[in-house]
Amino acid sequence: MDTLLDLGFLATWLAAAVRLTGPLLLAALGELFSERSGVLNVGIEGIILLGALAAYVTAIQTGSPVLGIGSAAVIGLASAAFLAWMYVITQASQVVVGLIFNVFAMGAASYAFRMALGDVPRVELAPMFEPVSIPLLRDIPVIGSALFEQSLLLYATLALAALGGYVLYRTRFGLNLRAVGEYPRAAAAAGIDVVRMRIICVLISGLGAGLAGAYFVLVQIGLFRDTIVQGRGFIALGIVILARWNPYLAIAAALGFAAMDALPLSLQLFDTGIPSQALVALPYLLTILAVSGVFGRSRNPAALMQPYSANR
Amino acid sequence: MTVLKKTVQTLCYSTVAACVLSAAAAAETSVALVLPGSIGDGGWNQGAYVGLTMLDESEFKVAFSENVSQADIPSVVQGYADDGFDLIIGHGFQFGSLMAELAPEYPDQAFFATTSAPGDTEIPENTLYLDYRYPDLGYAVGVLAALLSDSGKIGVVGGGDNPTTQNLATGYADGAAKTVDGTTSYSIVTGDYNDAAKGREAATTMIGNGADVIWHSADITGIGAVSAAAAQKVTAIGMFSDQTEQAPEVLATSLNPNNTGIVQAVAGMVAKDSFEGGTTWVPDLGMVWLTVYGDGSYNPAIVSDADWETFKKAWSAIK
Repeated sequence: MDTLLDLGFLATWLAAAVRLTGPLLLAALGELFSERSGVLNVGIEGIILLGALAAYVTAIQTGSPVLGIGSAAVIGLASAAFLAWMYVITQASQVVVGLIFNVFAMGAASYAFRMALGDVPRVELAPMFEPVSIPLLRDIPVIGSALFEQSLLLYATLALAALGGYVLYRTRFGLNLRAVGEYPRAAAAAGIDVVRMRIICVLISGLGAGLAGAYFVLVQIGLFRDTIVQGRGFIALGIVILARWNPYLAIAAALGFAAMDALPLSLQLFDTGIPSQALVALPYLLTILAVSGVFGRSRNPAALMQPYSANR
Repeated sequence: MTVLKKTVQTLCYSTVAACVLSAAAAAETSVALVLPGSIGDGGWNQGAYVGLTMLDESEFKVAFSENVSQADIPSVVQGYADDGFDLIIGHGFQFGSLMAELAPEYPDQAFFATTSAPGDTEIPENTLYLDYRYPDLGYAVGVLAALLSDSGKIGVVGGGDNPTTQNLATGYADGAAKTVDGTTSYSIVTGDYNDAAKGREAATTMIGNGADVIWHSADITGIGAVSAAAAQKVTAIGMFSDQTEQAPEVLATSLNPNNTGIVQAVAGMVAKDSFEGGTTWVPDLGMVWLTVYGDGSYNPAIVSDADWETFKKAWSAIK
């Protein structure tokens, strides 16, 4: 406890960082597919919130967290279907539609939450996914508890990231999707249905965001309140940039962001001489640095935010 | 509402009958409550809202606005003032300087802010502020936490980074150190009142470093802190609402601001013409804070009678 190099400090910081990584990574993975196809889905912040609400209400009604995940996925896909229609078919401004959708989602979630649970909701805990503890491995100093005492959903999320990388770089679907995001006209000439591809990718981003919302409720908090997302959808947008639109790098980027978020918590237990105000501001400063190109230049998909129309 | 009242006042000059009507209208005290958060937050805002709803309908006419952002607060408060409400309650630190600035324009109406007046503020005659006695409260809870801790390490999770959060944490450490020698008090300020996930990590970090009693001073962030304590089976002390339902097994007690009682008390003062502004109201600690655990005041499975006695003694010794 006396020095920053104390193992206890590292262990608690790392464990907090890994726990915070899950929902960020899920949301970022979905967003990554959407952006790779050329659609910037800013609306994931709102979808995360709606997914969290769906997971909470379903889990307390049915007593099953698995059904909670299912309903968050359905809500995520439904929201994304609407957004895909706006982004891809009507070709409205992606940023404006996404931002307005977030405002709408906030209002809709608050309203639905009160309709479901009354004006003054009771504190009713949803059934949650308990962490699984892997014997022997969990006893490894420092990293043991951080890596081997986590929820199954975290391991599933990591597997999804690996799957995402495989799909993006090793399958025909992934190749087509990258082509659509780089040069849609050429992709269309090669026989790829650009519109269909983009709609699928926006749906994937909705699925990721919806599941991220379920993760908040079913792994981290057990309760729903309409403020719980706290800008993490926007952080996911930052993670995608830092990860250079690469699912494998997204794991590291999400962990990095989560570590920044967790660092001031652990640092405050030590007399560092840094005022707490500065520590609280630290993650935001590092976020700006992270997306500003300090950690290497990145190139976004060339057709990102460019509407595609077959007739022009 | 306003239009009606003004019509009544105008009529008053011409006919006697209308004057009777106006007297009847005047007997009804109108109270407006402006809330920075949701009436369903299960804590700070909800308590005041409940106080408002418990006012007698035959004597009071009530209105409220919730989730009012900092930017909208001045216009909302001014709107109620223009509408002629007898008492306008601003619930939170956001109303600190605003009430003192606005009140002189409406000398016949009363303004009440549930926060202390910012330093150097000259408090108008029709404005009342409230001292929640945060340093004293922190001290009292520190006493209890020290008594409940076996490891000699206790923690508090803070919300927004502001003087209230700092005062609570300082008082907490102070109370603990004076009660049980050598108690270490951790404090983590998350910088956010609404981030349950971060609150949970803050508490988990302190528990990971040996803390076995967790208090918090943050609404929704605090929900996360209590859930961390529940998950790791260490004692939790609730804040801003009765949190028994969330973690009945690990919760020792909750410190609940008596916003319900305060709103009723001030509305009563205005109704009885006994409202005296120009100052900051400093009630007894027991008037502003209640200890709640379900139907009782503490969890006997966690707090021994002797410890509760000691705590209560320290509580009432604070003047």
